[in-house]
This record gives sequence, C-alpha cells and structure tokens, in this order.
Amino acid sequence: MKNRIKVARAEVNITQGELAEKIGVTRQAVNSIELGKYVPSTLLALKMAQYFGKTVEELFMLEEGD
Amino acid sequence: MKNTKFLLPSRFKKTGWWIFGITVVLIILHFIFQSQCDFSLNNIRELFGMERLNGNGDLFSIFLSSSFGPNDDLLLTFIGILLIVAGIFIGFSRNKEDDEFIEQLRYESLILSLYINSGIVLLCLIFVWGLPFLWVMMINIFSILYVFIICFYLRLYLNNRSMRYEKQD
Repeated sequence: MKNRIKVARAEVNITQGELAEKIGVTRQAVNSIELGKYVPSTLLALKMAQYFGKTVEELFMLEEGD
Repeated sequence: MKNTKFLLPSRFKKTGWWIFGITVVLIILHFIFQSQCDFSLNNIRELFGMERLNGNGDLFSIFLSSSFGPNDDLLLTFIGILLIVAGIFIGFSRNKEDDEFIEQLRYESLILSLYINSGIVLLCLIFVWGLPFLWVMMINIFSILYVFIICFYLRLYLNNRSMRYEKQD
C-alpha cells in the first residue's frame, strides 16, 4: 500500500514527531507508515485523514498485488 | 489507540526489572556460595524451630514436603518463581509510549521468539542426551519468555536506530 503522508506533512509543514503527537501515536509509528513498513489500522488512517482534512483514499492507495 | 486488553500497566515494567535484578544477584550468590548455602527443607525446619517434629504430623511440614520435597533447593524454586514473574512484568507490560505499531512489534516478536525457542529445543533434542537434557528442560521453562523479551527490545532498538539516521523533516 502506497501513501502520501510525507507529502501531506510537507503541505502543512509539520515534522513526524509533531504529527505523532497530534494523532496520539509514537514517532516510530509515523516513520514506519511513511516508509511503507507498517500498514496502519482503520482508526489511525481515519485520524490521519481527519487531521490533514483529506479522505483516507487521498492519503493511502492500493498497489498492484494488494 | 491501545487495543491489547491483556497487557499490564507500564508501572509493572520497572517492578519487573527490579525483580529481575534481585534474581540475578540471587543466582550469582547461589553459584558463589553453593556449597555453603544449603537452603533445604531441614534449614527451614531449624529456622522455625521445628526440627524436633521430624516433618511428620504438623501441617507446615507436610506442606513443605509436598511443595518442595525433602532434598530440593528452596532457593532455586524461589529463583524460578521470581524469573517467571519478572519476565511477565518486563515482557507484557505496556511501554511508556505504546501504540498499535509497538503492539505489532510485540506480537511479531512473540511469534519470532516461539520459532527461535522451538529451533533451540529441536537442536537440543537432537544433540543433548541423558542427564544434561534435564538442564535443557529447566532452562526451557524460562527461555521462551526471555527470548521474547530479547527479540522485542532488539527490534525496538533497531527501529529507533534506523530512525536516528533519517532526517526528521
């Protein structure tokens, strides 16, 4: 699964640590999600989408083979 | 976002490390003073002034005999209990910063430790024979718990280290 978290973060100009604090997770979680090493739960995906004011589909997209 | 219901509160982790530290000291003392430190049932009887009872009749002696056996080392039983309690406290209490990603790491480490432990036991089954195998079985009581703790903390450390090399932009 691809994601646009890094781009969305750059748009609102916040660091991984700040985003982690806002949505109530660790920086490791944000980092791993950005790198595609960890697929977040629906709850976390929705929280991220809500924070950035986007839909979940705008932040996360399925890849071929998913 | 704390989904796991079966984890202990984070304050148990510190207690677990304290118990583990005390246990390590006890183990070291046990091996240093093994010959002098005969912490057997007879010593307990002497300690409580029950040597004249010869272990028959009174409830306390019956309890001790059935729980530890006349020749078992009470200290080793105590060490075993402490090691299991410490392992559970350290391994299964929440981290100060805990979220679903850490929970995922914990879950994966548990599976990994099961594989590693089973692999070690398999090798021991093939290569260790006779009386020394008793040691393998004894260590196996605690090994899965401690292999899990090592796996989990190693993965946390590697994760943190890989993050340090990345620019926090």
